Amino acid sequence: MNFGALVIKSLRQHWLSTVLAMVSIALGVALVNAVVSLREQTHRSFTEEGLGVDAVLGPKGSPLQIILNSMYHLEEMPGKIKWTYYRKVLNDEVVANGIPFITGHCYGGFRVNAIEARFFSDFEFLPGRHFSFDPVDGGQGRMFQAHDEAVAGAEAARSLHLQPGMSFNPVCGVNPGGMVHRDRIRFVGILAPTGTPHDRAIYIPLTTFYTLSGHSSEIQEMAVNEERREISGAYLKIKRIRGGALHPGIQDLKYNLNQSSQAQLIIPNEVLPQLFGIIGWVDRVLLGVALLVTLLALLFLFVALVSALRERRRDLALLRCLGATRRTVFGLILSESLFITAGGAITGLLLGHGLVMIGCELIRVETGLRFSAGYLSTADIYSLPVILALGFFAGLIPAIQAYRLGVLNNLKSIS
Amino acid sequence: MNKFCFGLLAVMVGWYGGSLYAEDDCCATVPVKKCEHKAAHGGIFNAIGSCKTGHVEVKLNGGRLQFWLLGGCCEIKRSVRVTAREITLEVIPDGEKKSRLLTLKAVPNELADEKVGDCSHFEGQADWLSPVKQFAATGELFFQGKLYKFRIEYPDGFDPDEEN
Amino acid sequence: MVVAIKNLTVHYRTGTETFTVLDIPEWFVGREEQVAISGPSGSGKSTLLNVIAGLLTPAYGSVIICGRELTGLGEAARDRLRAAHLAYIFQTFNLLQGYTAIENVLLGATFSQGKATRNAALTLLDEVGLGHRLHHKPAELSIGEQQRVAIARALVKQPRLILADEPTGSLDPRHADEVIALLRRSCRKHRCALIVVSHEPGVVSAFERRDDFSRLNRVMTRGGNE
Repeated sequence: MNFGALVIKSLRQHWLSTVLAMVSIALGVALVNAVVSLREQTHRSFTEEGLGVDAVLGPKGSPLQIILNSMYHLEEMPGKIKWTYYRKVLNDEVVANGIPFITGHCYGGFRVNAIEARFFSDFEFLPGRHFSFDPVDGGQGRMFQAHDEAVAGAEAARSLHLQPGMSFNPVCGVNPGGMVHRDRIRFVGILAPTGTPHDRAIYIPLTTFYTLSGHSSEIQEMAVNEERREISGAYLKIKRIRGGALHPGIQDLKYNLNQSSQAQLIIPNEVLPQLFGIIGWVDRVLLGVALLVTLLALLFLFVALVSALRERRRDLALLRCLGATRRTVFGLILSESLFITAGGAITGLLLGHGLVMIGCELIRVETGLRFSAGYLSTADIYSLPVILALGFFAGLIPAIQAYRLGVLNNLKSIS
Repeated sequence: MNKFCFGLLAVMVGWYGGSLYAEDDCCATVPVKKCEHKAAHGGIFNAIGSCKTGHVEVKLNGGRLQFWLLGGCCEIKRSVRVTAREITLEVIPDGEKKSRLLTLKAVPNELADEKVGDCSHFEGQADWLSPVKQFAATGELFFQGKLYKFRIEYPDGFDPDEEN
Repeated sequence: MVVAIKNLTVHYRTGTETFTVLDIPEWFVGREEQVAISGPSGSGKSTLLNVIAGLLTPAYGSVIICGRELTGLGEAARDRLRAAHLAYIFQTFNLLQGYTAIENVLLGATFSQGKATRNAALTLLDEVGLGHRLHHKPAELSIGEQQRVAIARALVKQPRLILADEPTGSLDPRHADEVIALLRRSCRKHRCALIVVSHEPGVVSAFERRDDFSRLNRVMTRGGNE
C-alpha cells in the first residue's frame, strides 16, 4: 500500500465530508469562472468590436439609448433627424460613408429595420467580414431589390422558421399589440450568421418604410420628398489616417454636431465603456459572491480537516507506530487537502464552462450575440493555482497538528 | 424586446438615475472650485469673467490660433454664440515685451446652423505666431449680453477664481 | 544480538516531580530468541517496549537494536528503523477500523523499504487462518480474529523483532493459548525474535526464557496501569 493509496483510502473513509468539500469548492470555482468568462466576453463584444460602425448619427437624446437601438436592436430611438441634415453631414471631410436607417417596426418579436441595400455590401459587421447570402456561409437567397422584399438575420429566421418565399406583415412599433400593416412583404434572403445582433433583425428597403399602409400622408410623402424626409439615424464610416486610425477630425465633427439642435454624433466605443463603468458593480457583486462561496468552501474544508483530525488521532498515532515519520503524516493531511481542492477546482472549471454554455445560449437567443463556452478567461488561467494555494493553507494547520501528534498519548488513551 | 439583456441593462442604468441619459450637472451638489473638464478640441480653457460665466477654449497649432466660446463651468460642453464678426487680441509672446495684434475671424459651424454674427468659433493666423509656444493675450468681447475684458494664458490657462 | 541494553535509565516528569521508571543495568535478546517478561502492573514493562521500539527516549544508557544505537538517533531515524525491522502488537490490536483485513496487513509494510506484495499478505492471512476473511473490516471480525490480523500485520514486513504488549489481554484463556502458540510458531517460521510482555502466568509459562521484570528493573514503581 503506497502513500497515494493511503490518501485515497483516507478520503474514502470520510467520503461525505470529502464530497461536500469538493462540491462546495466546485460550486464556488464554477461561479467565479462563469461570471468572469461571461463578463470578459460581454465586455469584449460590447466595447472592442464596434460592429463595423465608427459612429452613429442620431437624434438628440440619450447616447446610450441610441447605441442600444441602432446597434443592438434594443430600446427605441428618442427622435428623428432630417434627411437633408444627414446629407450635410455626409459632406463633411472626415466622413467616408453613411448608411441611413429607420427603426420602429417589428415582427414576431424581432425588429424590422428599414435600411439601404448598400449596408450589406459596404459595411463590415466585424473587421474584415461582410454580410453574405452564400449557402456556403449558411445564408440563403439574395438581397432585396423590389419595394416589397425583405431579408432576415440568421437568428430571426431560425426562431420564426423563415424561408425565402414566405411573407409577413410588419407591425408598427416595437411592442406587441401595435398596428399591423396590411402590406405583405416577401422574404427573399436569409443572411448568413454573423454572431452579432444583426442576426436578430429583419431588414426592408429604406423607402418601403414610408409607404407602408396606415402611415400618415406626411410620412408617405417622405418617400419622394427629400426635403421632408426623416430617418432614425445613420451609421457612419469615418476616414482613416496612416496606420488605420480614425481621422482625428472625428472629435471636431462630434463637437460641431453636438452643438446643433438637430442631431448628435455618438461614438460607440466611447459610450459603451461608460455603460460598463455603471453596471460594472453588478458583476463585481456577482464576482464577490462567487469568491465568497469559494472562500466559505475552503473554510469548510479547513473545519472538516480539523475535526476529522480529532477522530483520526489514534489512527495517525498507529501509523507512526508502524514506522511513519512525522513528515509522512504531515504530508498525508496536506495531500488530502490538496486532493480535495484540486478535485473541486477541476470539477468547478468544467462546471463553469457548462454554466457559460447555458449562458451563451440564453444570450444568443435574446441578443443574437454569440459567445463561446470554450472561451479561455482569466479565471481559467488563475483559478487552479490560486485555489490550490488556498487549499494548501486550509490544510496547513491540520497538517501541523498531525505533525505534532504524540504517539504514546494517543495509543494509550484507547488501550 | 430582448427581455433578458435589456431588462438587466435598463434596471442597472435606470437605477443610477440614467446618468448617461441626462446631461452632466456638475454644479448641482458640489461647489466647483476648479473646472476639470476635458477640452473637446484638445485646447486650453481660459475663463471669461469667471469660471461660472463662460470659457474660451484656445488652441495654437503652428501659426493658427483657434477659439471656441463655451459656457460656464456647468455648461462648458455647450457653445455660446456671439454677435462679433471678429475678435482682436493683443498678444504678448513669451520672452517678448511688445504686444502684437491678432484678428480672429468668425468660422461658423454650419452643422449647428451658425453664421457670421451668430457664431462660437473664431480663427486667426499669422506668420509671427508660428514659432510661439507660450503667450499671454487680452481682448474684449460682448459675451452673453455683457462686455468682458478677457485674458488668455497659453498653455497654462487662466481662471480668475484661482487668482483670487 | 537483536537487543542490547546497558545502564538504561528512563524518567517520567509530572509537573515539578521526576520519577525514575526504568533502571536496567543490562539486558540482551538474541537473534530469533523468544522472551516473555512478567511482572506486576506499573512496573515499567510497556515502557521498556516503548524504548526498544524507539517511541521513548531514555535519559541515560545504551540501547542497541538490530545493531543500531538508538540513543542519539533522531526521531525520524528511529521511525525508519522501526519501520524496517520492528513490529508492535498491542493489547487492543489497534487495527485501522476503516481498512479490511488485507489492507491492515499491507499497512504493516507501507513504511518499510522492502514493500510487501499482495501475495505475501494473502499467504500470511492464510497462515493465521483468515484466508477466507480478507475483505472483512475489524468490526466484522471476532476478537481472536482481529488479533490474528495484528499478528499477520506484524509479520508482513519480515521484521527482525516483534514486540507484543499484553497480546492476550483482551482474549479468553482458550483463545489466548491459541494466539500465543500461533505467535511463537510464526516467529520461528519467519525467523524473527519475539519479546512478549504479560502479567498472565499462563502466557509466560509457554516460553522457555522467562524474565522477571522486578529483578530486571532496579526501580520500585507505583502500581496501576502503565
